[in-house]
Amino acid sequence: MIGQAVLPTPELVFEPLLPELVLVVFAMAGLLYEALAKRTEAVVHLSIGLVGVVLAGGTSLWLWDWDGPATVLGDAVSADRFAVLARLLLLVVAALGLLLGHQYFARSGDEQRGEFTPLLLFATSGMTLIVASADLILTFLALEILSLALYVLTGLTGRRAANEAAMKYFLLGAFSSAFFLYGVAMAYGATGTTKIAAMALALTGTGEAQALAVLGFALLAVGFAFKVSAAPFHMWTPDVYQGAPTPITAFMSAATKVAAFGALIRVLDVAFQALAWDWAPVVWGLAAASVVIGSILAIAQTNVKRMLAYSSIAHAGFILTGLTAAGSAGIRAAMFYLVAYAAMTVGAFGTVMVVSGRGEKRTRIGDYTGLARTNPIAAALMTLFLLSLAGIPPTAGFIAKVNVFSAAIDAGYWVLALIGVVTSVAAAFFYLRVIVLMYMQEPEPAAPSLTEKVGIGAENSATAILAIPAAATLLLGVFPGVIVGIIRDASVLRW
Amino acid sequence: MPDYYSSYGVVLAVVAAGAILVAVAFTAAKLIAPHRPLPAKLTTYECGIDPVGEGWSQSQIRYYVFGFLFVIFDVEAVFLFPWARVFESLGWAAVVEMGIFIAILATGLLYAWRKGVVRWA
Amino acid sequence: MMLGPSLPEASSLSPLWLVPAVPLLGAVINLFSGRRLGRSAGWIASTSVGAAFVLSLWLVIALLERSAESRVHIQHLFDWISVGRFAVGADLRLDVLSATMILVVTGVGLLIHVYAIGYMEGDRRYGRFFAYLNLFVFFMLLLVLADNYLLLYVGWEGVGLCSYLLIGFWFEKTENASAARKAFVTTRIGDTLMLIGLALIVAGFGSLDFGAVLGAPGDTIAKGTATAISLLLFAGAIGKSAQVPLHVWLPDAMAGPTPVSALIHAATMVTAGVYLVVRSAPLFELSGVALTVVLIVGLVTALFAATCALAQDDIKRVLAYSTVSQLGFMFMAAGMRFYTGAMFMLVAHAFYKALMFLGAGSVMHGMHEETDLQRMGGLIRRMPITGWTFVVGAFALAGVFPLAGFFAKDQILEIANHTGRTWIYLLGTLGALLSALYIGRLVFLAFFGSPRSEAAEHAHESPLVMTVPLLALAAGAILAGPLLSTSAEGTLARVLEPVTGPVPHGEGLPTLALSGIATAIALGALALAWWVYASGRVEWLTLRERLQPLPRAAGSGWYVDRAYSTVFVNPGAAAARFTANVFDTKVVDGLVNGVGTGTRRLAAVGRLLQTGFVRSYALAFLLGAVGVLVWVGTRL
Repeated sequence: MIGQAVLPTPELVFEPLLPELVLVVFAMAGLLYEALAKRTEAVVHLSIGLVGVVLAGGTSLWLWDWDGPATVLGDAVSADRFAVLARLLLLVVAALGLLLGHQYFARSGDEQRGEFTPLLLFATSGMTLIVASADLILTFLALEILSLALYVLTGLTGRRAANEAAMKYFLLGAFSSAFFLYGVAMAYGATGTTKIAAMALALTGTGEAQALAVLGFALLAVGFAFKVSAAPFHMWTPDVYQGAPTPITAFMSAATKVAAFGALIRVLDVAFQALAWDWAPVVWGLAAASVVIGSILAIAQTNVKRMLAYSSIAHAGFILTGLTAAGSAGIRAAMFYLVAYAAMTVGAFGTVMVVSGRGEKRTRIGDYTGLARTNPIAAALMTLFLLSLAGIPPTAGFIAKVNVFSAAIDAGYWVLALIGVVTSVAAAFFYLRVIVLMYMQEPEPAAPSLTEKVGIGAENSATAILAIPAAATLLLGVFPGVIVGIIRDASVLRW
Repeated sequence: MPDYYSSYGVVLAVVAAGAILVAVAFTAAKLIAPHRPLPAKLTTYECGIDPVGEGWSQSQIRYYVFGFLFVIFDVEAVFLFPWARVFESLGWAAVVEMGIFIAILATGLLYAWRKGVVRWA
Repeated sequence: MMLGPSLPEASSLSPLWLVPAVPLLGAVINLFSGRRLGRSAGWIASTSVGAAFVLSLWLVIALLERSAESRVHIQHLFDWISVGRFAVGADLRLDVLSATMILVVTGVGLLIHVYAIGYMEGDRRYGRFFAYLNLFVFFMLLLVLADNYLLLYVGWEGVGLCSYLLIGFWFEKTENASAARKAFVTTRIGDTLMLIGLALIVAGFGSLDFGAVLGAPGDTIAKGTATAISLLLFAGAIGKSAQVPLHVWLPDAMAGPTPVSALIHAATMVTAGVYLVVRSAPLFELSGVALTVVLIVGLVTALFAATCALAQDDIKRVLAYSTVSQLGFMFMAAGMRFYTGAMFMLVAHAFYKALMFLGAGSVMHGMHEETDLQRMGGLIRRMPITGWTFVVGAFALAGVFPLAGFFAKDQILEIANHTGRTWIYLLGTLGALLSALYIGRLVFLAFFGSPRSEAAEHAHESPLVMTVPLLALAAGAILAGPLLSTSAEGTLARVLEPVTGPVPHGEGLPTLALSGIATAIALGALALAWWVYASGRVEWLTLRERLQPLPRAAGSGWYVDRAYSTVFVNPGAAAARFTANVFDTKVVDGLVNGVGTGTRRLAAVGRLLQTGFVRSYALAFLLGAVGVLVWVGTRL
């Protein structure tokens, strides 16, 4: 009998996986270049990375009009427009991360730049895979791919703080992975499958296995909450964001959220859509805890990176606020928020990188005193991003907040929206405090002008990169309509 | 369903048997063994060497590298054996896929080697 | 996939979006590379406005080829804002009203751009100037082409911003910077009220689209609401169009370069208020009160500013007060529901007032920035083109047959007479008399008689790039009347009728008699001005001394500025000081600090949890997970 019990082989349709394949190939190319070349040039690494990201973006774009089956490779990978949009967003963030990192390592002269590009591409491939994953096993696999790469990236410079951050991230990440896996097992127990579409079918109209399924969802939610740094699973965030090299913080703060929320949206709105009444309160609680804890603790911070880390916790809460509305209304609000959040957080951390100088010596909030005098462009950029993070018009952050609040209110969760509005007001305090410092106080006499330290060229090109998120932040704030149509198309999950 | 649970009965029996065995052995020792307390018997190592320094000690970092490399190839082997069992029925695609799989791992090894990770000193 | 905005169905009018886009492109080019472009910056700017003009002309012809009822084209560019059920699109609307406006804006704008190439020659921020000027044209086109009040408001604020930037263009002089600030702050009073008006429109109609608001507003909102909305919108118009009591910024705005005064503060931006009233006519007509307010404010402004203009010695300030006065005439027309008359006056005024501003600029150019009428005289011999074109503009303003101003003013007074508003007719005629008087004074003091200074004797004519636009505008001032509107129901009125409704009718003195009276008054006033200021038989300076303090009071704008600073600015500053020093530090700061301190304390407690030890993080994680599971468990 052995030999006959071979699994049925699925038809191999690889096209919807092309972006990931491209990314992995280019990451390997980067590794080989680093391993085999006698003298490596940073520019070559950057080119390999950028070409890979652009090609991956091209293949993703091509998938927008994919008319093949909704899911391929044994229903493990979905080929819908949601995945395309999330991938494109991730790839843009990755490109910005590559450019910023290139500047960062060129400035500090660190040796480790060789691993930077391949690791970032590996992380990105995990992220783009997770948003397209239609099978919880594959989701877990992608989660590990992106996490492992991020752990190493966090400790890339080998500085004490970076090492500590990497270690903490790794230990807690492993801890959360266990919860996630346990959740997968529970969900499998409840439905007899790990495929998201099949789970949705199995859960529709059954009463028997609901308890196990809800338990499974709760454990999965814990795993995702860790990744998106929602309270109370957020403790690692400030330490890791502060310890990691700033361009990597910029990359992971934006991209990890997009990836994890992308996967969470599939789990919520496809796999467990039948249980919306059961999961909505869990999302509600996580959202409320995140906005409150993130906003309040940010006030006590004296380090800008740490402050932005708490702010990212609060933003995770705002996105969850939008997701309390089941179905495409919530998806639309969350997607818009993710796009806006990606632009403003990459921009904010990028500006922090420009200001911090070699060796990240200037990351205290006090270092921003009088920045408008010593570096007016960086001060203006920082102001824009902070206003957007605070949700003040005419920036993307404002429109994004309006969207999630109105989604929550339409779904009947007006108390949550109220909590969100109140904490937004409190949060404005710590954003505006930085702006006041930059513009209304004189710089400390000892504060050196940035250009002396870094050289005008390096600073200018880093600032030029930041023009992209700055433009996006403004454009989405003034003309949110330009992407509404795209998001509407992408908010339909095919399964 | 009763069949399903009764198959766990075996596990329960084994656990119970183990517990009884240990309990019997300890009880027997307590009853039979002579009882002569000495101060030397309270030291950590009865062979006479006093413990020095803290309980925390670092092991040589190089062992981790070899540990990792071993795990990588161990996992590779775990995938290879079942594949070798069925690749005939899966066809050439499976051969190519396994080739890619091994090539990726080989790249990792190559990288580790070029970076001097496998050198001991 | 479609990443860009969806393109509308093809039609001969579909290039509409290019009309504002081309000047915007010019602005962007000049803003980012103006310094490198050097002189060609001016040509790039002029070309972009020229292209917009040609395009507008083509579009308007295509529009006019349609039948009168279908002369509306709405172009949806993209969804701009959509929150819940409230949506605003970036929609452009080309109908006969906006067609008239885009022709004026791009046509007159083109001539002024060309003129500025010569006028701004050698300025340090040459490229920047043209960037702002192009940007202004873009916002102005956006304002008149908008199909909803929000887009209109964006244009409205945009032109305000450009006006601010251009008035203070030579910001090195403190007086220019403060004039810019004054203009900005004063118009802001109107803008804020207007914004409240927009909020009321949203509350009343649930939409800001012209189609939804202006279609049949009486079906949706009550008369009182309509009155409130109309008055708030009109408040915006009062600020923008410098009507009493917010007129004080315009004379000071003359600190800006003269092409700016011609384009922004005579031909286009200040007329945006008139456009707003005409566009929103269905709302205004719902409430008789609002129209009456428009009429009275227009009349008061027309008379008041004319008296001020009579006593100015600065050539540009005469023209500024004259603009205020002429805008008053336009609002008078609108207040009598004679919207086509307001629009015709707007067009005619754009020509002759731009002409006179540019002429004044040419005079300043030839006399080393001299603006004092007392130091001019006899210039027509030195600068014949500038002089004679200026005379054309002045005669047009005074209302000499058959120039544009004659028809415009005559028709407004005719409607006043024919609708039984005798007092309005008489006071309007008085205004016309004053207009002819002050402009005659200006012309005879500056261009005739004998030179009264060294500079006036040695003045020189301006280069061709400046005089050609003067000639073109003079042609416009001569031809606009006969071509567009020889009677109250002339060509322009017939074209505009689908938007503005029919011209009001009535009985009064015969048209010919009214025209005769108007002509007699204009010529009489001009003759009087000649006798006093150029015949040499009257010592006008002695005469002025004998009439004091009247001329001094009029010259200062009847002390309105001083009254404002006594009544509003000084107490305001004192209140602000009190607020800043006492109220803010003690009460507000106390409150804010209280909240802040409280939150800080809370945050400090929270920070204690963030120990930095992985084990405590893991514990928190575990507690969180247990919390979630327990919570879920209780629901099972």
